[in-house]
Amino acid sequence: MKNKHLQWLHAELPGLVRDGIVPADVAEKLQQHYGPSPVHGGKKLALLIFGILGAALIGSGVILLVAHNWDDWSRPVRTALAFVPLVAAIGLAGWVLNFRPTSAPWCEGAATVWALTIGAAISLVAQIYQIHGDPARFCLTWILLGLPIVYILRSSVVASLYFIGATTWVGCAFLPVHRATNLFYWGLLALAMPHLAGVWWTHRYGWRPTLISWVLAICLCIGTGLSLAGALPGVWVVAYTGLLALLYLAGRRWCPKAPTLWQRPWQTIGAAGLGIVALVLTYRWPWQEIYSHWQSRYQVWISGPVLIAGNLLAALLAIAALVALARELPRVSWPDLDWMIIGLAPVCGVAGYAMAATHESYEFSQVLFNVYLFGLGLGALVAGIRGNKLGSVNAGLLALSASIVARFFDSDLSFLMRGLAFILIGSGFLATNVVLLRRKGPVAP
Amino acid sequence: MAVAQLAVPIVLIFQRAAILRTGRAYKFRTRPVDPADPFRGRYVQLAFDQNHAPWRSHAELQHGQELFARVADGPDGFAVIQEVQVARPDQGDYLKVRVSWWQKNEVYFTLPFDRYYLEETKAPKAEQTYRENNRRNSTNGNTYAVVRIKNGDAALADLYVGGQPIQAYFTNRKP
Repeated sequence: MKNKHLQWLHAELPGLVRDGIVPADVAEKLQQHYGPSPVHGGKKLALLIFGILGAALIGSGVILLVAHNWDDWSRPVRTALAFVPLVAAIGLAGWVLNFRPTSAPWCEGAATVWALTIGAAISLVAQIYQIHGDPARFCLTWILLGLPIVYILRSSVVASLYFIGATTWVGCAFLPVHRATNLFYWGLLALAMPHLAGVWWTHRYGWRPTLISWVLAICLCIGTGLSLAGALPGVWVVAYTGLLALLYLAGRRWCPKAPTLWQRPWQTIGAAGLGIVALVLTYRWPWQEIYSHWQSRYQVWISGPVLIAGNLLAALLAIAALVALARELPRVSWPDLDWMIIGLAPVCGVAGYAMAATHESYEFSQVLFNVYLFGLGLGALVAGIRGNKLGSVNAGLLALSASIVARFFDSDLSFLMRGLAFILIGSGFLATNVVLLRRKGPVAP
Repeated sequence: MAVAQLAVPIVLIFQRAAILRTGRAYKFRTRPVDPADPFRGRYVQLAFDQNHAPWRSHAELQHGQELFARVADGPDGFAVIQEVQVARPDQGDYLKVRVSWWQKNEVYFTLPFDRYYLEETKAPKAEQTYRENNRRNSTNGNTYAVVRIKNGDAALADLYVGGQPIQAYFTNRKP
């Protein structure tokens, strides 16, 4: 039930009981069934956010203050000062575990400070002793030392920071030394997944799994490309169409009744990301060089087990998305047309990549994704109209508009081709209008 | 777990202290720029004359690849990189370096001590000082870094400006 409806219910119930319309025990049962008033929930959320922000700002302030580099003190004194924030944070965490173990603001605040002071201690020691740090190693050390905090204090904020840190690490660690894929990234992500599973199981639409899901979905969109940077040229097409479709389908399966957009991170990131990737793939340049790089040097890109594993991972993402789609197909109906088309993205990705890698021409792949994007927009539009889903209608219109605008300004196509295509599509829309009007009768003014 | 979190910076300290205590000192000529690192304060970016060496092998190099640079004292008392190789040397002092770029017979690399952390008010002044010393586009022999090397690891001991340690330079400098 939406918050404003819940607020209305809680506001009305006392009056209804007073007037004898609803018995008191029924009112009590209604309140228990729908949960507490969001006003009280809002106060708790404010406490939590302020606690986390305050802790994060204090931790960051400590880092900046000590970064001032206090040359006036001797090295041993500065070294001792470098450990003070971390020791204090550990003490605070111990106090919270003993005296406030069930308080979310205390746990999250203490966990955030603790996580930040780990990095501060390492940074300060490096500054004091003039240690030239490798950013990737620093990042990896920091997140691995901070990971236990996620489980000790059950902190979802630190879990989110951990995913951000892992993605930062894979970006720093990316060196085209041997065109290696960085599969450790996925292992790092897996280490924090039990926490996500635990909070999701407790309350799948709560702020904890929602926050972590948003952060993880965005990190996956960034980290996938970085971790597979050394894979076969163009295999990112397969990886991203598979990943984004999988995100969307997983969200639909595991969070089907999310009441608000905020509580649908997987679907939102998956659908939006797929729209963007599909739009990019309607152009020539992503496909143009796949053939030349693939044909001339593919032996290099599959010359080692790690490189092969990276390419297999990309394929696995696509396969997983197709499996998820196949499981849902028996239940498909008109209002579900949009997600069915989303689930077909890996098919187009694999087909387009296979053609571009084995043939010098790129037109097939380009046309394929033009058709796909158009179909995606149309499918969302139809599904939204049929299922009375305004969000789907808007998303469909956006996809169609983006597709049309992109082609209108595409100088690779001749004026004649663009003109004919637009006339045909426009005629199709008008014909659809005529058919719909004949079915439903005259539209009311 | 708290012990592990405290142990990591402590181990860094002990490793660095061992190099500073028992490593052999070399002088590297420097040319600096002044950026800032939000995690570790203001520092002077150091660049060195000794950032390249002959490459006699036919093996292809990759950007970022680790090599070992053999270090020795030159006739003028400043360190020289004699050669770089892929395998760790069996004897003598050496540094772990990373390839920046290379051409047919020469390889350029980054040294593992390219920053000197200073109080934030001193770092820009240090940059200005180095620029003054480099007006003729050549490094002045009075600006150099003292680096201690042991078993391939290096520790930046001090930075010399005008022939004296940089901290003393700013202490003794007339306003």
